[in-house]
Amino acid sequence: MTAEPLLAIRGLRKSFGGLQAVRGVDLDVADGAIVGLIGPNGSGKTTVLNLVTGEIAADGGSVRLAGQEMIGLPAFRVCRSRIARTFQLVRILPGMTTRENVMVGRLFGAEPTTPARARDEVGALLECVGLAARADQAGSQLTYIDQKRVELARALATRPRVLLLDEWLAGLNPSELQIGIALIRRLRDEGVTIVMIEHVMEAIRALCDHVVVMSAGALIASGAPDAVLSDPEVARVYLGEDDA
Amino acid sequence: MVLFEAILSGVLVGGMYGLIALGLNLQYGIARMMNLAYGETLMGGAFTAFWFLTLWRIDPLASLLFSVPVAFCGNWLIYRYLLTPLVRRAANRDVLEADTILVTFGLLFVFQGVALVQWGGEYRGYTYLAVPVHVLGATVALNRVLAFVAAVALALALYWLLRATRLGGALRAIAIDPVAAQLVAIDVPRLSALAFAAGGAIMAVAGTLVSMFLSFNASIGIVYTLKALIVVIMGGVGRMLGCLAAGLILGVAEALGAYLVDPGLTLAINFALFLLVLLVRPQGLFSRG
Amino acid sequence: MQRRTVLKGGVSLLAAAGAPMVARAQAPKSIRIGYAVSLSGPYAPGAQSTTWSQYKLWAKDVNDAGGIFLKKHDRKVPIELIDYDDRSQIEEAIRLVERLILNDKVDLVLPPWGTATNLATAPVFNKHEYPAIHYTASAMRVRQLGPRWPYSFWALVQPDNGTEPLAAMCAQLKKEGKIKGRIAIMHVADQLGVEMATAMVDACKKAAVEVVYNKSYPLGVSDLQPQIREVMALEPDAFFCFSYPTDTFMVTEQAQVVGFSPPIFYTGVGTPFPAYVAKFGAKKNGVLLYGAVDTTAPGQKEYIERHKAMFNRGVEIGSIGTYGTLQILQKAIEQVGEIDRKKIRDAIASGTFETIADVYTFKDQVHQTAWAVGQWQGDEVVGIYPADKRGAKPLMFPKPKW
Ligand SMILES: Nc1ncnc2c1ncn2[C@@H]1O[C@H](COP(=O)(O)OP(=O)(O)OP(=O)(O)O)[C@@H](O)[C@H]1O
Ligand SMILES: [Mg+2]
Repeated sequence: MTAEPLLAIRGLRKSFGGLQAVRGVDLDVADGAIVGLIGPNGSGKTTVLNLVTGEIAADGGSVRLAGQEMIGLPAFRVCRSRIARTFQLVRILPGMTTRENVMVGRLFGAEPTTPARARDEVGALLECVGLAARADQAGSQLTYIDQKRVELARALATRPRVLLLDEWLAGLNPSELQIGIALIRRLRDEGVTIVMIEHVMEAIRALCDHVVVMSAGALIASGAPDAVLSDPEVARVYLGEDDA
Repeated sequence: MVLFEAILSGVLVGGMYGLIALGLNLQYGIARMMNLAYGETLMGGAFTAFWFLTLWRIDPLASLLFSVPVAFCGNWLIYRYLLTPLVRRAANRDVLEADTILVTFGLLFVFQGVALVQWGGEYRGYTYLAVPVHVLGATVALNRVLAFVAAVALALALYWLLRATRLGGALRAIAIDPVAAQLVAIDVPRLSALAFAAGGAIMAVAGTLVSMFLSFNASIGIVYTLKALIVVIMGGVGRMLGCLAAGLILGVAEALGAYLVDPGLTLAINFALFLLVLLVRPQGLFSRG
Repeated sequence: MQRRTVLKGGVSLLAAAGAPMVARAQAPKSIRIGYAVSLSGPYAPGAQSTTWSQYKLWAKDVNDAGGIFLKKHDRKVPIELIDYDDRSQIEEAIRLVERLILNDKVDLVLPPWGTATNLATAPVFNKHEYPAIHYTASAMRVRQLGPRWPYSFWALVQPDNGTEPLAAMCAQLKKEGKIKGRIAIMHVADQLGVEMATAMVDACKKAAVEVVYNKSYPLGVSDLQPQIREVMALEPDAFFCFSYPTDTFMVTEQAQVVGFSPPIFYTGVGTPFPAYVAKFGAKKNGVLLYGAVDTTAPGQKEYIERHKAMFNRGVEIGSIGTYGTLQILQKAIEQVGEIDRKKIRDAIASGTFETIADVYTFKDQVHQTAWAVGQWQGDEVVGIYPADKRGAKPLMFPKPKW
């Protein structure tokens, strides 16, 4: 990590009532990297994402994207500053078709364009995530994996520099998993920087340049995947009390 | 012939029901605020038309140039300064819903009270465009036709706006999931406020048109709020054409029931239909979700 | 019961013993009069224009004149009003009347607005023996209540004597060959509308006139044109709609739109309202309506001016009538010369009272000869029936076409 990080998180904090969900997290993400964020259930991973995207207000700390402060901005501005995300529990817009779901992202994200031009670009994006055939189906009628694809396409449509994936690979069968891994790798190759929360270790090993581990709201380990995953402390946290 | 005329009357009344429900559909369906003071905007529009006409001989349609912007700004201010703080404070959606109902209920009394003090409690009405027009041999009043036309035009315009424009896409996204919407860069607070204010503006239009053929007084608002709520729930929250269709169904059912069975039954028919929809399609007649 | 009577006897004995010295020296500073009227909620519009405003105006008029003269103290004593809002809720009205009597210990309580509220609060007035002259109440029940509720007086016309003259009128016109005697009745599905329609049908039967249509419609209906069309197809020559304000306005406008203009056209509550005048202008000429006042009654013109000065709006027969009942109360108090509710009750029950609305006498506590039918003639509502009343004018027949 010698280069200037694209995303720099410093001292990020959040409590819910008495519960300290995130207690002083520091994290650097280099431009073009894939960083894995792992940790037991309830350790605060999703909350970190929520804080970065401005969905919930931080109690303290800073999040800089290429030097620009994100904390304090409303969520839609963070998105326009090119940080996009997917949700752990899929959150597409069920009353709209696949295409409309993705169009929304394209029309309102960074570099918004006219509806006519957006339509073409969205077509290409759907092609890319493998949804071209389902473009005019209602979101509510899609299978689980296709809904995940919609979410990804919608996030990409906002033209992110940093993409935050919250367990995007969870719940996929082995062959779907391979497709998913390939897709993420391709996005990185196209220049998108990725932070992924994941429990699927196979994917972490295959994709990540760097892994950080959270437990009870704090980072407890960080490094290359193989090193981190063989760390006895990490194993203890994962296998021991799972609701840390 | 009488039957045809009864159906036609029902269609016109149904259009009016649709009209008063459109604004609520924007406020509740998109901005997600159950506004119990919704009908007070109709009352305001009606009084504006009335006073403009009686005091200054200004045409009720011209009074729209005043009442619509005022209703828009008024509702915007209410959303921005009374209801948004509730969103911030509320722990979850149920709490928010309860809070907004309480606050807007209070607002209802404030508006009604001010109107009572300002304008007294008596019934008001004026005669405007109460001229017969002949439609396929049946006779109807022009003022009712006007309200119907406005309802259809507004419903179609809103439908088009929501379906075919960039703004509409954002509004629909907000209606479905405001959290997800803000994370695809939609300015949810601003557009919600816009939808809420537009709902108020439509209600001012409804108030002006309805006041041309129904008498009103300072406490009439709640009657229309309830009616609108029934139509919105029947038609499907957030569905503009559904709202119009539900209004028309109600209107025609009332008219037919009155003509074929007994006029005393119209209210009963109304509620029976409403209950039926609640039981069979609780999400509304025209909802996909 | 027994104990209470004894106790009361004891108290009045004590009072009688102490009274002459104490009372003359200590005339009350004011006569405290309370009321609970609907100032918010659905009843507020009617209650405010017909009832509340009249209480305020009367109190001002009385106090401007120095108060009510109490013989016993040999001086005028001003009125002090204590008012509550029952929020259009009947239980609240009952609670508030009780509160006025027990907590606020007012000298007198004025009745609330509306038939239902008046009937519901009357037992409270009677339980505590507070006399009340109910004006905004019209229901067949009051005829049976006389002996049970001796402190309640009913000043308005009731459904039976409100409709009998209408049937008689139709029979007479039929006999004279002026109409065929086909009658259509529409009414709101509410107590007053139902009772009026029922009484009207009975009266028509007795007078041998044919009822060709009689149907109700619900309160709050938003369109009556199909029903009017149906009526029109039957070609009646007299149309009676026992309606409430919104439907009164609607039926009149829609009859005009479809060109339904029978020679006799009658609508209910709301017909005499200033808004009706504003809406229909000259077209109101000839429309018959429920109740009336004697436009020649002394003091009425001055009252209308005072009303205008205080509220900046016109009056309607309901407000004039309400004010009339307050004059009855005032006269009864002055006759008695002190605040003794039993004596005041007896004075109302037995007296004859000239007011700005009518000359009132109560038989079985009901004003039996109340104005039943009025008519718009020019810009005035004139009394038509009972035809033998002072100030009654001849019927304008036929009603001019719209
Ligand atoms: N909005 C909220 N209000 C209150 N508590 C919350 C809220 N969001 C999260 N929490 C709590 O904060 C803690 C961290 O939650 P978070 O969702 O960040 O965990 P996670 O690491 O994403 O877990 P998982 O692997 O199960 O998704 C949990 O105890 C959770 O209950
Ligand atoms: Mg999580």
